[in-house]
Amino acid sequence: MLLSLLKKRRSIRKYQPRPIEKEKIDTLMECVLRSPSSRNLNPWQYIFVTDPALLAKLGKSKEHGSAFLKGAALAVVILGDPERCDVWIEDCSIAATILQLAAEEMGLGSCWVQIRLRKHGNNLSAEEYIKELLQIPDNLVVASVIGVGYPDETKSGHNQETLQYDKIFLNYFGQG
Amino acid sequence: MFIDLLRKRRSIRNFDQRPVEPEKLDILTEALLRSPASKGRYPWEFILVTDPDIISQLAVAKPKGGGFLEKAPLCVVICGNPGISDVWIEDCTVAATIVQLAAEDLGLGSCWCQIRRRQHASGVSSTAVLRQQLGLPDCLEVACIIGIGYPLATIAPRSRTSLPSRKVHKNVYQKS
Repeated sequence: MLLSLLKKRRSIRKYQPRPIEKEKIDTLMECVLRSPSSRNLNPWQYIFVTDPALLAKLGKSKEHGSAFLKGAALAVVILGDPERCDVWIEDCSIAATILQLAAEEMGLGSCWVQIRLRKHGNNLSAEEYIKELLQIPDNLVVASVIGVGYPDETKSGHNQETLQYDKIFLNYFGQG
Repeated sequence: MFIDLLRKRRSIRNFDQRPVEPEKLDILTEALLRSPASKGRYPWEFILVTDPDIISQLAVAKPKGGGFLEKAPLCVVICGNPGISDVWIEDCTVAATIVQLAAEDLGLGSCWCQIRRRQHASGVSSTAVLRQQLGLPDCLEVACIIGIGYPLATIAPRSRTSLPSRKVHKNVYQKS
């Protein structure tokens, strides 16, 4: 059941060194290609990075929050095409979510690295850094990178009592 | 399996009139609140609309593509606060994706109605119209509305061969 996946899912940033089996990577590829998109325009593309040298360089995409990619067995770079669809941010985020849930179900851990609106350093965006590293054409943008691997840390799921039920309204804003 | 959910999932715009049971509504609510968000900031708020009069108003928030909401027994209005997170679009999309997958898992159908960047027939933004109808504070933007209900008919799944496999690259972007 999907809810049971959600109940145990946590962001995982520490991974075992073992690689992810080809069949599992194939399933993850099918999942991202099955991600629904606005008007079925599919304005995304994906780069599945397993090369350790490239993973280490992806770990340097941002000053904070990306270093864990160095230890990931897989990083999926999610690209959007703004000329193809004006809501590419949504479409790329749907795919990222689906990828993370599919990974979770296969016993893999994952964590999202935000790239859109993030800096690499003083004069370079995280997006520009990755575009150069992975030879991405100018017309595409980098939305996020999802790090994936066998977990080397355990975290317990969030208790139901911690959920923000005050953010749910019925029919009108402010009505419980 | 999660992949089976994705393989059969299609956008459903025609719904049976029977309401979504309270137990299922509870599961959808929990799924929404378990949506992960950037830096744990949770910039979203959700309005679960079952009142037919309000649903009729939601259905005309934009001139095209929202009409199907009229027949949905449940609409989830997904709002985000840009003041809380600069990546509220991503965070709202994660929640929208999760509620759609949770609905599918419960035997319900759903379809996304994009609101961000869309306009009402009068030329003002769809968000501005919804803000007034739902009593939303000015700090909230409406990302999208997910229409949910029991499907009136099933739509055949997409075949594996129809997937745009050339959109997956390995290690670096490969120009085709």
